[in-house]
Amino acid sequence: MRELAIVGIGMHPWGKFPEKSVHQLNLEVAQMALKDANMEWKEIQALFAGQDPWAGIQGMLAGCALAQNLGLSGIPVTNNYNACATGGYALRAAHLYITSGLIDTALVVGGSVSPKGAFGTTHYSEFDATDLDSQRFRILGSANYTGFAMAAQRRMHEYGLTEKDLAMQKVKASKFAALNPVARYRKIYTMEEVLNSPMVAYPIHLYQVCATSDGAAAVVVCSADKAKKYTTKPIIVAGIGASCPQYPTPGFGGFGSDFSEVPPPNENDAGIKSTYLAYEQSGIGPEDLDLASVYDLTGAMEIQWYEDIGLCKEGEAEKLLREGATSLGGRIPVCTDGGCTSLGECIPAQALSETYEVVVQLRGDAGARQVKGAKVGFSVNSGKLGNSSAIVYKR
Amino acid sequence: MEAKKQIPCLEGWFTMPPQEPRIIGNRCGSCGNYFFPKAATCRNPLCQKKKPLEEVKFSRRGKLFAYTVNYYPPPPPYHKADPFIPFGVASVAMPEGIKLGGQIPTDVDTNKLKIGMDMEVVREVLYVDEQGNEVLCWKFRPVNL
Repeated sequence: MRELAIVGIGMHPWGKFPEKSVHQLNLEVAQMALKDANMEWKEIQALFAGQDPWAGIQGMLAGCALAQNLGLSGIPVTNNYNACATGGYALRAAHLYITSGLIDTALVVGGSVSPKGAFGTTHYSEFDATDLDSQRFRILGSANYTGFAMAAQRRMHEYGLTEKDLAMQKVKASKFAALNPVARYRKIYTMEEVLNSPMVAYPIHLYQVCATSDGAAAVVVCSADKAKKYTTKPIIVAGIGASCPQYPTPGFGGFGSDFSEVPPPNENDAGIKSTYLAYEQSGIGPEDLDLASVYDLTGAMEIQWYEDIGLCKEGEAEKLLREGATSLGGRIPVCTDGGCTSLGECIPAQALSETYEVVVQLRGDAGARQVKGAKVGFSVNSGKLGNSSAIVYKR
Repeated sequence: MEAKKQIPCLEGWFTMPPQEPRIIGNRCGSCGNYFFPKAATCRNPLCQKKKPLEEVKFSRRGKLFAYTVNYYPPPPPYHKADPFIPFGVASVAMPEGIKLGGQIPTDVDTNKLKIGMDMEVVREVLYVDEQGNEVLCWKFRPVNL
């Protein structure tokens, strides 16, 4: 089977852009990625686009809308939504199309213009018992951070995670973000500022709640044997995995639409499975990684990921954070772009923002946040209904 | 003046007065696994599905597995009380082997919540709707506080 190379990348800053539509964001990043790849749109043989759940039918057909803007060329367009793993599933589909030999080039895009405030549901009902996402707000009073807070509580209970540890994660993330031009929040926080900010859902303070952001990112991919035509720095997708949870499903007992997207410690089977599928396919293990992007929707989740992706043994993740191993300058930096913590979350594009950062790092283009000599990188995500994807990259 | 009518937030998900408060789910007759909300079909991929699902009432008590306290009102369709009072949300490990979620009544001192404590299913008014009906729901109250 052929290998997949990433030859072009583009990313819009994460933030709030009320004057732009998701289609405009997608167009901008698609054009950036094509330019970065020295490739013309007419050379692209398939388009894989994340759907934007907040943009109606046009959002469900975001790829088709993008193809219209770039110029209808008759190529197949796949529009997918896999919650936080959307970009990873899109890239995985492109990976299969190309490595199987069906086509040589593809464009992968994800973007969204998110609603104001906390993620609510897309349309809501009062008495519809089948609309579990509405009912978790209505009956349980469960916002996304409710589940995150419960996951933090379990780590506090089982492994001695403290509020100070959580503040440390935020401070670490902010130090990376200060050096990342596309991050939304670039101020460096102190522990005191974080811990003194209002409590939202114990133990999560306001400055620790993941914001909702607008954004978009794109990658141009091609068969590795053709990559040199487009770039001097192709980054190989050495392994890619995707998974959903296995029964009995993990979670805190929500309605299958909220709590269960946040696994308690030792129940992140989808994220772990995606990770090890990618490791196996690539022949690369956690000990070989120079950096990793994990889905840090909350501090406790980032810390949990350290164990789930094999950076340390069970129960040792707090130690890894405390000793600075995953910080700027540490031996295994994690979330070198500042993570969801500093970008905010833009669901359809977030997985691709992880990819973008790892590629920038492996190309040696990360400036002051560069992980020196980075050759091997990793990204993983997991979200609603247990959607998860993971990728191993190598230079 | 008409007495306020009490209606369930969702029909059939829990018992209504005068029955004692219990959460209603179902259980696979074949593999014995429990589900809440009720499953349309057994969700165990290894189940032989030789017998149908049966409606069950979960135990009244379980152990607090995790919780948090919401200091900000969640987005709609959560009905925000006026004034808003911070409230606990509980994940309770039931004897049936699964965890159930529910709010904690606002009169409970959330500083005294501890993982592992015994919790009991109760019923409370979730909100009053536009017609003046009291919409009831289950909640979880610590047994020994």
